[in-house]
Amino acid sequence: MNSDAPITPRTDILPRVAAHARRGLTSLRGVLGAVPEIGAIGAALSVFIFFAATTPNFLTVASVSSMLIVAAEIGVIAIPMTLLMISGHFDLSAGSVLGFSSLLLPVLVVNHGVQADVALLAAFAAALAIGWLQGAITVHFGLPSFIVTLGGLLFWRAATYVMTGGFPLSLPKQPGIISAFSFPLGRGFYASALWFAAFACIFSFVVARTRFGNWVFAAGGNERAARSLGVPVDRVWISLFVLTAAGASIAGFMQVGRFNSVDALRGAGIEQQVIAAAVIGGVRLTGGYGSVIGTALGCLMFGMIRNGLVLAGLGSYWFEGITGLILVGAVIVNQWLARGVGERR
Amino acid sequence: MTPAADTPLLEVRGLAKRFGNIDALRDVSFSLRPGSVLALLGDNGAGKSTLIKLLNGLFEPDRGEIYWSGEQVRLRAPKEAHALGIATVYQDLALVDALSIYRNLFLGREEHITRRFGPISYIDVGLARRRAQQVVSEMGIRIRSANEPVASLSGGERQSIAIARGVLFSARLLILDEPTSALSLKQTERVLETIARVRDKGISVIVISHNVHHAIKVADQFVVLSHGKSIAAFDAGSRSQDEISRLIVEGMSTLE
Repeated sequence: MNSDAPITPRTDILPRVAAHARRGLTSLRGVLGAVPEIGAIGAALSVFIFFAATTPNFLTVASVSSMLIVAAEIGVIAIPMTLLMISGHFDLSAGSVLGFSSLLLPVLVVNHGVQADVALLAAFAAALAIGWLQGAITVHFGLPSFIVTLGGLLFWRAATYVMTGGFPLSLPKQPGIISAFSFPLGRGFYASALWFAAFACIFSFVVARTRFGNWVFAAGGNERAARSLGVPVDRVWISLFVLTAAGASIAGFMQVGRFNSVDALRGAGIEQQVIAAAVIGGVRLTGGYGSVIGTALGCLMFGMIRNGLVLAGLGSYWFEGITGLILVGAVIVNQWLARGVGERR
Repeated sequence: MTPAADTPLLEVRGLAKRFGNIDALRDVSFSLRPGSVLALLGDNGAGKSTLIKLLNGLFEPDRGEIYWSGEQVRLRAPKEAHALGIATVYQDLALVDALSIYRNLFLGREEHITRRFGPISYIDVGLARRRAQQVVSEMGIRIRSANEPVASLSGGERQSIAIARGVLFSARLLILDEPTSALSLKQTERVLETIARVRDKGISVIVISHNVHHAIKVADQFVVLSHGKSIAAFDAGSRSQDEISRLIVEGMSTLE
């Protein structure tokens, strides 16, 4: 018996060490999982470090400013879309709504002689109405927003073609409300970056500190509980569809201000980047989880990739490939972290 | 007994409800004394969940009357039940995982934790956490922080938080749907403790359950449902656990 004594504790130690190690890993995972932005922080940092190390001129003012142009135009859509996705829906029509409302502006001005500011407000109102309509259809008929907004994607793109027969229209450069979306701040920076920052701040505040923010999470996380507690779930959903369409239209005005012309393909496919940015930022497709800051980081990361590839002299087709890889990688990490939180239940 | 204590908080007489060809409830009568815990027992399909839906205003009964503190009432919508002080806590359906404990506690009633700054109304996190902490500790619930997301709580803790939310909004009657069905033994003990605390605050509780073993630990009154009828109503201590179990399983045949 005595000879066994020194052996017994040794055989005991290994599983105990393993258990400790596992617990250590789980708790690290738990800590990281409590920060919903962690996937986006990781992705943005890796992209930043990669380009900073490999690409000359990446760390210049000109590079940062052009990165921000890309990030801002995705971001003003992706940020309201984040709330919509947290609430359990999403909007595939954002790119088409962007195209429709930004082409409507020069159509009204050039073809119908409407005063520029009035035309801009009308185009904006059209976007809000589209958002409201798609939201109301989704809620009233209880349809998946995937279907309703896929219909919207096709329909509003077609409507955009019909307006000019597919031809681009240019808008003479003129002062007015339009400049609020794109006036130059100097050194290559544009007002769009300020809109992006304002969206990030305001929507973060709304999510974290307001009644509406509570309702957004409740609608997506537990619709039945939300309804039984008197949360006006349908109103929350419809207003988020309207906000997302508003964001799409603002992104459109940013581009109109930048290019002074609009073609019928404007905004096509941008919804893919928008949704990818939100998902990389920690939003779950099933709703209930997500972070505005995470999404904003996802948008900055897109800006860095797009700009970094140009500086590195690589074709822009690389952009979509890399985006796709990062998207899947980030979701794997986010899910692994989420399981860490779940294990403590 | 004082005269006030004689008036039941809730009394139902001859409740019946049909859904198409199915008699979900045929004849249910019982009364609930103020400040007591009533266990509503019955096997699956006995009519328990239909009865809850009549009591919280989701459906109106086809026949029968509901009396609240001695006065006949109609509960035509959940709002009307809320207004009387009837709150229902559904098992595992009540909380939003991503939100913190305090945001869950005040969900739908954010006016209790918001402040105004000009046109902006925002949640005062300090106030909300203090109030949440106070509510849960009054209920004997131990939490690490009111800021913790409920996703990281155990099933029992979640159930207790959901019960606390019912109490927070000055419910006079709390209806708990199978509060212990998915819980471990230890967590069940905690939830039963929480139910006892609720009663000690003077709030009446109806616990819907098919687990006699759990119900007997906390209930003052029992009502047994079988095939849509209330077949027995009695006070704690007047029947043994075995007798109650037999009533539930054998239903009508035991009485005949």
